[in-house]
Amino acid sequence: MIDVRKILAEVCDDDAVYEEGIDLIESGLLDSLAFVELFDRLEDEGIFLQPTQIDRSRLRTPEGIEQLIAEYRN
Amino acid sequence: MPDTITKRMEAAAKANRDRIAYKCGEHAITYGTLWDEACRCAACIRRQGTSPVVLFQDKRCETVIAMVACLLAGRAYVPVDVKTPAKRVARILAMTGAELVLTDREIDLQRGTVCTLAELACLSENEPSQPEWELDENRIAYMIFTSGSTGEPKGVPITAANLANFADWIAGLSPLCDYKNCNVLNQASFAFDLSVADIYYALGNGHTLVTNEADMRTEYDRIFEVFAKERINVAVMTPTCMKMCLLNDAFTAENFPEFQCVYFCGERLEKKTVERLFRHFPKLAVINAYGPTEATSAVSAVTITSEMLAAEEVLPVGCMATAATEIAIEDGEIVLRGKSVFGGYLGGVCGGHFTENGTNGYRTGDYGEIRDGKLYCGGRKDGQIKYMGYRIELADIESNLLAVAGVEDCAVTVSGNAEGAVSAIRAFVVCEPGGPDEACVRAALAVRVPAYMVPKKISVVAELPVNDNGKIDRKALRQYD
Repeated sequence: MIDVRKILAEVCDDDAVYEEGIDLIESGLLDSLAFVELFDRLEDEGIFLQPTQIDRSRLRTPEGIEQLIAEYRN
Repeated sequence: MPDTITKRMEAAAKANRDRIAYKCGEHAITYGTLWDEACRCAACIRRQGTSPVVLFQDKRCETVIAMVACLLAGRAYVPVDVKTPAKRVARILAMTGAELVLTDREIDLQRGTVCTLAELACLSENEPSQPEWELDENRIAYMIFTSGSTGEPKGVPITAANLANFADWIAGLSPLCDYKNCNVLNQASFAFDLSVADIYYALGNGHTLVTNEADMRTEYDRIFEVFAKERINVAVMTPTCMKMCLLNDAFTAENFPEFQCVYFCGERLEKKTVERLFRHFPKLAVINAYGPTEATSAVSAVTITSEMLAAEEVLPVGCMATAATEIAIEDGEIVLRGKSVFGGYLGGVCGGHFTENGTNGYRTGDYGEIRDGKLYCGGRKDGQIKYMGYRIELADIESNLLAVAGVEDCAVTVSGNAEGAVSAIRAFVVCEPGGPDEACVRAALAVRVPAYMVPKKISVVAELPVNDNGKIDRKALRQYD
């Protein structure tokens, strides 16, 4: 099981990702550098997502990212 | 009479009159038109005065014509990014004493002319003509403003001789010297001297310079679009920008067979980035360049090979044999001397510059080493960082935070990744009782400094931890999270 929140906390360098209802993009947590780091980290875990083909709105929450990972796996 | 840099540009223009010199989005201009317009405008610019000329425009063709026209007119141009907050623009105007601002925006100028280049030039319907006046090699060609630790931007004046030296150096750099008729990508703002590399490599050698107005921090797909549409052969960019392009699996040698070379400068190039780049483009020529603004964009470069990736822990930033200027290591610091080095900051501001037997020198503040004929760059001696390619003095941010009403004290730190690149800037702020909250501090800072200098996270804290010497304990600040 990939701990998405833990990866997010590391790439965004902020525990605010654990907050209820956090919007990663609105809050500025997932800025362009964190974005690159996130996809790098997911690749390290064997998840090869195509960021330019993903609707940005799907990256707003940790749950959204977990959903993307689940879809990749199927 | 043309001088070295204008002679180079004239030769390129005359040999390539019908080739597109510059393209931004849907707008393009040939070498013939660029040169003729620049010559025509040079006379009006010269008649208007002698002060530096501030260019406060986006990347339209007019901006490039203005740069060349200023070179021909013998007046320094000062490119200022349109996203710069008004307060900072006002400081730059005051510091340069600029009496001509070429812009399409509202600007407050005490004395002088604010207009577009077209408006200035329509006063003169003359035929384009070569400048009949003398052009002094030691005149200031351009001035770039960089982050200053006092909170005031620092003006770096670069002479025509400095610029000619750089232009000759990059024209002769392998493999760039072998290319003909290329599409060269500009990514950096004209207010950053990474752009000096693409502008003078392209326009000094008959290539086509291509750009768009994408904001690299938020519109990373747009750079990729330019690659796709314009069939880029040579890209000049920061490593961060390349990381963004590499997010796209379609960015490969198969889809972009004409992409032959990338020239990186402006921030540390991580091995990881080159490894990834080689997976997408196995035969790409990768140049890693190094140099401070104070030494005209870059002073050294080296081609990165897969052998180097295997052999080196940290990538070199230059090959000593092909350096643009004299490079030495003194007390572990990279010190530069010679033709690329500036003559000192605007206003005589201190720091780094020195002269020795009539030669200009500059102590970069970068730790470095020379091994096997290659230059390596370590960390900084001071609080200067590179964030997404932008050069920032942490004290610049701190000074501007302290200027916010209600802020009593602050400390700015960075978080980094394993290879030493900065991933985010953080600020810790102590406010007076009833003072501003985080959102207010952020908003107040944003009108003072460019957006990339506003820390990703600002925390209002009760006090800053202090160590035994009474100095802010930056390590302890990390525990605040």
